[in-house]
Amino acid sequence: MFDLTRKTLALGVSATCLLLHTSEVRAETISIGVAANFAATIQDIADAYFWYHGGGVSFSITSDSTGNLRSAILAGGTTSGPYDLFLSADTAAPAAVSTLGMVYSGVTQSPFFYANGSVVFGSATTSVSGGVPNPISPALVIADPSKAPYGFAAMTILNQAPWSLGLSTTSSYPVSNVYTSANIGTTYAAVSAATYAYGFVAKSAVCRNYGSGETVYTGQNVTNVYEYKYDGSAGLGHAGTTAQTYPQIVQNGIALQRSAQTPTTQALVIDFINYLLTSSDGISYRTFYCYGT
Amino acid sequence: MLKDRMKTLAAGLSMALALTCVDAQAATVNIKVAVASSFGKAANDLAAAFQAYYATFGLTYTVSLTIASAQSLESSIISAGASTPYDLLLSSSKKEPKDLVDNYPSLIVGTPFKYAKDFLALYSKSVDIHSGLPYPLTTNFLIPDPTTDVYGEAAAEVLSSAPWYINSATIPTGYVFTAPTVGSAFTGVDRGYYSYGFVAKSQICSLASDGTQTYPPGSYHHIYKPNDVDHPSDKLILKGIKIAHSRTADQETELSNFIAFLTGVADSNGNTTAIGTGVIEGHCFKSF
Repeated sequence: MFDLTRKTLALGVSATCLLLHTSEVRAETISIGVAANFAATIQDIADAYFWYHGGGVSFSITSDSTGNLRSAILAGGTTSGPYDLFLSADTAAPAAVSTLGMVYSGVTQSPFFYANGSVVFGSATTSVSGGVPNPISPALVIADPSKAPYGFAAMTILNQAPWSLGLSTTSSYPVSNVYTSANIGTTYAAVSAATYAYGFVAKSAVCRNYGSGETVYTGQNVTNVYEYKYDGSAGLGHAGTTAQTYPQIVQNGIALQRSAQTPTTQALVIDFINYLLTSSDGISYRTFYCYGT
Repeated sequence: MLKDRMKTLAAGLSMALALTCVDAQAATVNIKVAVASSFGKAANDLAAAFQAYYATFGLTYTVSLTIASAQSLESSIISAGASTPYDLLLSSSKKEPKDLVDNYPSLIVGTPFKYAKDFLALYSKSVDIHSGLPYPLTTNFLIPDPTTDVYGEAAAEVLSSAPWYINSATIPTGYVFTAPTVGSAFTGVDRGYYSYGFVAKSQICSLASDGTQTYPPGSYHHIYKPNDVDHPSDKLILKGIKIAHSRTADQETELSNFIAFLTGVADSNGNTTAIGTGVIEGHCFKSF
């Protein structure tokens, strides 16, 4: 640990020395399209990248729904595509744009895994220590399961006993006191503002890991929480297991080809992806926001 | 503060009553907002809260956020001219909106408006600096680049005062090191590359559900308040400005409603909510 600290301090000093010359270097900008649930995390990682790489690189981060980002990427193609890097909330969108993968050193880049998400049943006002009540009353909210992976996970949970609601992505919501919201960000906002007594939110919105394990993030409203892990194991807010399971939420990304890129930008994008996936900073910030790495 | 939270909750509950009126088939309207990095996380939460709030009125609003340094956002607005994609700039200071008004009036609409105020903070995860910057200096520490970052400018003003009297033109110097942005200054301290440094209060503080301000467990901080003799006046006021851009009538309404939501004033329907300003205060900014 001491060696690591010494190394990082040395890196900090050398990076600072590099900064003295940054005005002489043309800054390269990496343009990232990121699913809203990961926006805060990637902003921290991008800020920390300076200490790894030094100066001469900046970031433009567009936060939006995965669907909107995917549409913009497909509309732009490789000529006027808006992003160098796409960090999706699912696996489907990166796969759908994979024909636009960046060609780097003769290799077309493929989708890569960068985070696992999890869903938490939460409330700003009411204890949820027993998980989702049965019967469901008052109403709860989930993200639109036809568009949001987190909503699909919530729907899958509610389709299991004891609720067995028989929900589908094409159901006409509300169904059985289950309402939907456009995406996982708006779902969290609705629960946070107590528009609904409770709902299924992204774990990253209500959880932090300061280095000694995951805890409820008290700097926000939704502090009554009960996590449903994909495999039914113990989670945030409870030590027991749950009878319900769901397919793990896997968030993939992909480096994209576009005409605005210089070879230097391409090399930086690949370097940044490696930093995101393998550096202690990249792992620490993903863990800080309680993502699986 | 708690009172504000209760207002927010009350507003939320009243919205729930309107849920049955939602038209699920409402057309989606989108605006694009350019956001300075220091407000990026708050803007992400704000956009979600905005969309959730108007969904209860049957309006399907979406907001695309592009987060970068205020200078680079201004540069891209200037270079794109009439083809800019942005409808709104939320800057990290007064500078960029004022520069656009003064030098590029055809690119903006209206006048700059205040939407948040931040505070300079000294932050450490390992050294007790709750009394403020030590004197004499014995440890390397970090500030954002005062020539390009408004928080760095504020930190340099503190350093130029007694008892340090460090001329800002000489920075970096001695124990004073710089990072290019307040974001990298924060991560430099947060990741332990430096023992402490000047950051934004909004980066280290959040509002707990009981209305108290919380900081990372085990960390130390000193906030330079407006009445602090060393505080650099009112530099850290964040301003925004509408960007001239072809918009549909629905987009124009969404934009006006977004600004109303952000600033806590009446929207196009005459409704006022404290949800937006509550989100801002949740990140320990002061709202207006």
